[in-house]
Amino acid sequence: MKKFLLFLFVLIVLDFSGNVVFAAYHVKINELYASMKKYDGKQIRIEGEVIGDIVYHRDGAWINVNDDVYSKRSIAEGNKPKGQNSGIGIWVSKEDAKKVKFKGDYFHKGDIVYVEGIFSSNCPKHNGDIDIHAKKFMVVKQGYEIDHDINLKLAMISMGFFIFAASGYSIRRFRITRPGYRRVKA
Amino acid sequence: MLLKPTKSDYVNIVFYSGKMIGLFGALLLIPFFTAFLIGEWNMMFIFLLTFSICEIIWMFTDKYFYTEKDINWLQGMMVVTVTWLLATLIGAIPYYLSGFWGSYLDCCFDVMSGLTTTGLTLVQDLDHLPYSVNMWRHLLTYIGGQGIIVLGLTFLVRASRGVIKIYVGEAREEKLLPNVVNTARAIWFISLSYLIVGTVVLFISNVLIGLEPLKGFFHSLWIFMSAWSTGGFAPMALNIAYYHSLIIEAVAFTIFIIGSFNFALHWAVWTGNRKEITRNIEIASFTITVSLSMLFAASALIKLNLYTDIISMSRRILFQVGSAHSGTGLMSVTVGQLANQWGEFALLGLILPMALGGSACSTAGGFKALRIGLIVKGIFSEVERLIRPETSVVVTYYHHIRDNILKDSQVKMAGIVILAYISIYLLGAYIGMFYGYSFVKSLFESVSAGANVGLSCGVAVPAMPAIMKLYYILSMWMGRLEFASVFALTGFVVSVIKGKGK
Repeated sequence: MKKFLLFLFVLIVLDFSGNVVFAAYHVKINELYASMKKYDGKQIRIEGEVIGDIVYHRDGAWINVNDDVYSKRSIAEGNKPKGQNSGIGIWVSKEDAKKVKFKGDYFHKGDIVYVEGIFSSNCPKHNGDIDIHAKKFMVVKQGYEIDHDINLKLAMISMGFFIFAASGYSIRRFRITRPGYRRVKA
Repeated sequence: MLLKPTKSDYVNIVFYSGKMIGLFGALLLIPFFTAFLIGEWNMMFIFLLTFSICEIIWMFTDKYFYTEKDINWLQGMMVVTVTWLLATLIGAIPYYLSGFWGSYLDCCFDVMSGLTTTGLTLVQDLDHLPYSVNMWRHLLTYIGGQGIIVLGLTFLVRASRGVIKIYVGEAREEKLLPNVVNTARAIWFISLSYLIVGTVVLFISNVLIGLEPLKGFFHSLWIFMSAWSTGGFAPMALNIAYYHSLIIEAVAFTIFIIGSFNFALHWAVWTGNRKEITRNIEIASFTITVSLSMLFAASALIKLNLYTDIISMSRRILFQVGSAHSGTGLMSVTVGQLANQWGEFALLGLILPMALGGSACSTAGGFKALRIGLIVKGIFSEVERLIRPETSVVVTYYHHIRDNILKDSQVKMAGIVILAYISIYLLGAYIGMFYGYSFVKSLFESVSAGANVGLSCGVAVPAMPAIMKLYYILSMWMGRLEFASVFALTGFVVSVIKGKGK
């Protein structure tokens, strides 16, 4: 009997809020795209960074979530290029959408969210969109503003080139606007 | 006898190319001011540096290669070639210094993709990209769609007889007005008018779906630039699917279909000749091939049983086939979905419209509707000639702005260009297969690059082999300039090596 109960416990997991749910697939978004048939209509779990904008509709909202390498540290924060983005649209309630404080872009690290919901490769509610309808949605780590320090070396080189170009242009203007000036042909 | 280029050839090519680069540099002020307004200080310095480099090149060539001589055909073609190459190399500097691309080759790939209005991209972490870099990406597409040279003619070069040779070198043959400079200005007048209207409509749509006004404005401007130029870039990695909005899809669809029309047709309609829309051979050809392509794609998706209702399927087919046929490359489905869900049958259904392309003298690539129309007319004319008595004279007409008599030379030229396109498509497919990609995926990506479309099934990624990147750069370039300027470069190099003379 004890073994059976242990087996049941393995099959059933506790989510973050303490509610008991049947095991959902914990997958990366790229894997969803690669094996759409396998996950279509299944309950899945993803964790990633909220990106861009929240698009509100009458009965809910769209949130775009990326779970690529940049969801941990973006290039804007100094990470090296390591591949392209990987994201998906999440359909959430308006109340859940309001939990999001930071949305990722050049100036912000977006909130890291945990999403559990039904994956659809052809969502009947949204005209065949590929999406996840969130059943559980929570912010697990709040985002922040990204500081961009001015690169002084770059600034000095840039200004040096600009001053050189501006001086050259001024000299050129001065020469060709002089009365009687004739340009030398090559 | 093949003649070696003279000093005068070099002087003219360098002088006019320098002027074009000076103007190209001035465009960098737009992302520079964007960076300044948004507060992207490092990007502001990067754009200032690149701007300065362009202007130094212009002033240097203006001082040491100054000439008042008119240019000949070869020089005109070479000016286009050199300008496009230099613009690609210089335009890649801000990309490289931003740190969002893996290598300088990747940056050149993206600039060429932008200028040729292809839309394939190797940018990494696009979703965290600075506003100013996104502005530069979309501006390159917008400028490339109308033509760098067309822009140059609008502002710089005096209306000498020789400018027509540079204009034609950029795959533009239509003269909207008797004067080439005025034609260039008319093209920009049309494009800028649509820019204002399209951006306003997209801005309203974007704000309605919940984008903040500033972001909504930039996204609207960029989506317009991309759609109008049949480019395919989008500010976010999910492309058009990011917005989850039927309205945005509908507006973008309308813009890229209009953008794929011939500027001569636009001009005819703008100047009151509205009947031209129903009579033009390109519109007839485009409508027929779009309809056939949609039927083909629909049959593939029905067979796959992917979409449960007709509305979902129609929405996807309409947008993706329209995007493919007009050479746009905007995507309402994700790359993963296209590669893994749509299947090879459906990909084949998109390859055909991609290869066909939009109208001649438009922002679109591919064979072009005019050439397809001419070939079909040529075939019918030949059949008619066979069934009529030998003594009869068969004269075939086609309507393009005015009624024209179909000449054998036109059909032959259309056939040669189509054959050249098929060659670059197949060579690209072969290279893709050499590196282990399936035939259909290799062909899909190769056609997408050569026809300047930009749809991707996942082959064109930063990790693809450098040889493929180089080939796609060449293919995009040849496809956009319709081979003439690239052949001119080959001829020029051969004449430098093998030519006789001083």
